[in-house]
Amino acid sequence: MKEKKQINMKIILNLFSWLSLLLVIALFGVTTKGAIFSSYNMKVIFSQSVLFMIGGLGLSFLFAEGGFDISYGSVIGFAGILGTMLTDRTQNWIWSLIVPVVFCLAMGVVNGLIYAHTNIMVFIQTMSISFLLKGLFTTMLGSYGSYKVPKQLIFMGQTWFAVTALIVVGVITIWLFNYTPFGKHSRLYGTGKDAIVQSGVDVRRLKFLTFVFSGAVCALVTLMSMARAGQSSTGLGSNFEFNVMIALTLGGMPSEGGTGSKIQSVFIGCLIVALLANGMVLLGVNARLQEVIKGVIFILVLIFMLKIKEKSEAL
Amino acid sequence: MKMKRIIALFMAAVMVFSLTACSQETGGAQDAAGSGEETQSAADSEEAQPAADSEESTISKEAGHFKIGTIDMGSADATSAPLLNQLRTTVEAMGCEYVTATASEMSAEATIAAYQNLIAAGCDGIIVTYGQVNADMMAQMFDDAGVLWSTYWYHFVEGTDEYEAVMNSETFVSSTYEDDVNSAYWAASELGKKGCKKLCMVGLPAGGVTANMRDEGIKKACEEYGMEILAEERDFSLTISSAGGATITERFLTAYPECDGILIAGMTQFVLAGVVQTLEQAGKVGTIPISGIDFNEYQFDYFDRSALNSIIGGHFCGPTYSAILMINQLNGTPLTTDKVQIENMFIELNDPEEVQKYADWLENSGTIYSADEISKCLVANNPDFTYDDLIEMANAYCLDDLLARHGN
Repeated sequence: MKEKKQINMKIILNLFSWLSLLLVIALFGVTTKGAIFSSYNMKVIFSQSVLFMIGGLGLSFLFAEGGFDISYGSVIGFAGILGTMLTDRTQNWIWSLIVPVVFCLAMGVVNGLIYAHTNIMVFIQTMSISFLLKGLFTTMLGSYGSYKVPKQLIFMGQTWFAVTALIVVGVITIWLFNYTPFGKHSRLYGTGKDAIVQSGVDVRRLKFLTFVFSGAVCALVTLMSMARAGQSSTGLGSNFEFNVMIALTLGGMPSEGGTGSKIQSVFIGCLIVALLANGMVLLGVNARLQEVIKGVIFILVLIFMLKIKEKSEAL
Repeated sequence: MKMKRIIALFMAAVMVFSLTACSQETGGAQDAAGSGEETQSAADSEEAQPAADSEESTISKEAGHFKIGTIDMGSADATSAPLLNQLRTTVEAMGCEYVTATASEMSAEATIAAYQNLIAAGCDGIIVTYGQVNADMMAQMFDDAGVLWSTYWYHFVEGTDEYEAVMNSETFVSSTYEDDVNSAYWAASELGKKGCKKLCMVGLPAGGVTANMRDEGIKKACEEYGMEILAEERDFSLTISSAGGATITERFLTAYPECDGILIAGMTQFVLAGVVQTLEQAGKVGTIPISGIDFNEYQFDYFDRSALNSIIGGHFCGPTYSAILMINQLNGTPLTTDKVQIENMFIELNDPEEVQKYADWLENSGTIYSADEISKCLVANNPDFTYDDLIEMANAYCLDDLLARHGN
């Protein structure tokens, strides 16, 4: 009986994110009289969620380990501004491609080394990095408000590229997360740090690779963000990590990580966030009320998931 | 029992979703009452699809059924709130529907998403805050959707790539801008006239066009009055709040005791309270005068307390002028066929008598352009209204103009 109830709770938890997505689709489908399903709007929803999906895939290992990278948006901003600034100075577009890739990977390595070799809370670590980078790129911008992204990179903002990037990153992440020791150990680390250390897993390597993977995906997100905005300014990547965090949580990713972490949360959560924002504008909801509604939904989802988890553990 | 609680929570979530739908219905009813027209939601109307998806041209739509969208940046300060209120009055007075999207974080991605959502909501024209997204991208997005767009608080300088991009955009209507060189020159000069020589400055983040123009005006005033900028603080995380204003001023007073004037070259609406409070605590009110750009909600009180020496702001009308151009164009009666840039005037306050007059106007009327005045800017209502009349209206905007039209 007890086992049956426990299984029921797990099913509810697993189905919750899917039900939430279906509820949002059904609600806006009915209230907008199908306008939400127009071809243009579907493309809009995809283009608004794809960057967060790719970024969320990159961060999913760290989330499964119970951590989160607060510096993600600042890395995007810094990498974009540095690359386009060098292009502006040298009139060579290649810097706008190479610098973001190298810088994001380098930041992945730096963050990975700190994460692997110190006991600093990853939240505090990445927040410090974020302050550092924001200060640097504001100084670096100097008397320039923004730098233009060279036209050779604009194709990365187009839909076909976004679809390709999502498929490639999605397939790689799903494989790594579900079918390799890297993914399995990440989830186990989130469940019990001591247990995985005692089982002989090279935790330092695991933690280092988590950030390297995230850095590699961040490079792609940076290039796509630059191409979409057409310029690098202080707004590039701003609050990106918080949007991903909200999406992952709404998608059902446990905030403490662990074996309950699922890649599907990334896709579902990003779609819910995009649909909520899009649907409310389509309905003509006042912009300020939109923020209130999003906040209330976020809190309700968190309470609901916590209650389910508590019930599941109590059984 | 616990299952019931979970179900109750889920029902609460459903209730929030329902609230979303209901709030739209309420808003629609209010809109209808306000405009005297029966309005429909974006989803209900035929224009729910962007013009690019529809065979029907926006120009051919019946007057009074257009949707004009903008981003509500989520700030209710003394500069942003009157701007959005006036825009709403304008759009509704011209028989159109006012739609907003949120992008309070103002990141590039949030800005793009907000405009995409407004296009998807069937907006025929969008009033844009230019800055986070490149002009080429904006032009492409609006041209692809066939949606008219105008910008405010930004001057496109001839010869630049962004100027070319907006002028080559098929859907670009207009931009409105301020003379930021002269506004900053005026604000700094007011301190110079008070005999200040060593200033500390709170400014906009370095690098923006507005910041650069204001810096130019400040430099000119400093040279003219022999003033020196001892220190400046442009950190957005501080200049966005009164607490940040207090921190900045504490630093100024500690590091530069010789400071004899504080210039707030932007963000006055946020930082002024903190700056004044810190000066009061240090017993420096009156001895260190403040001059600012952008109006503050409590500026009259600070004038009374002799803390504020001068302030320039009131540049609320740019989106209104753009909306007038845009809606007339949508109605098929464009005021001009050119893509234009209109200067948006400031109001300068330094004389106690004028400060009091402005305070009285705000308290008793607060109307910049009434619905009645705006409705006369629609050629369909007033065939004699021309582009020159609009420019005259914009150029006339000042305190005396406000008082003459809506003073007591």
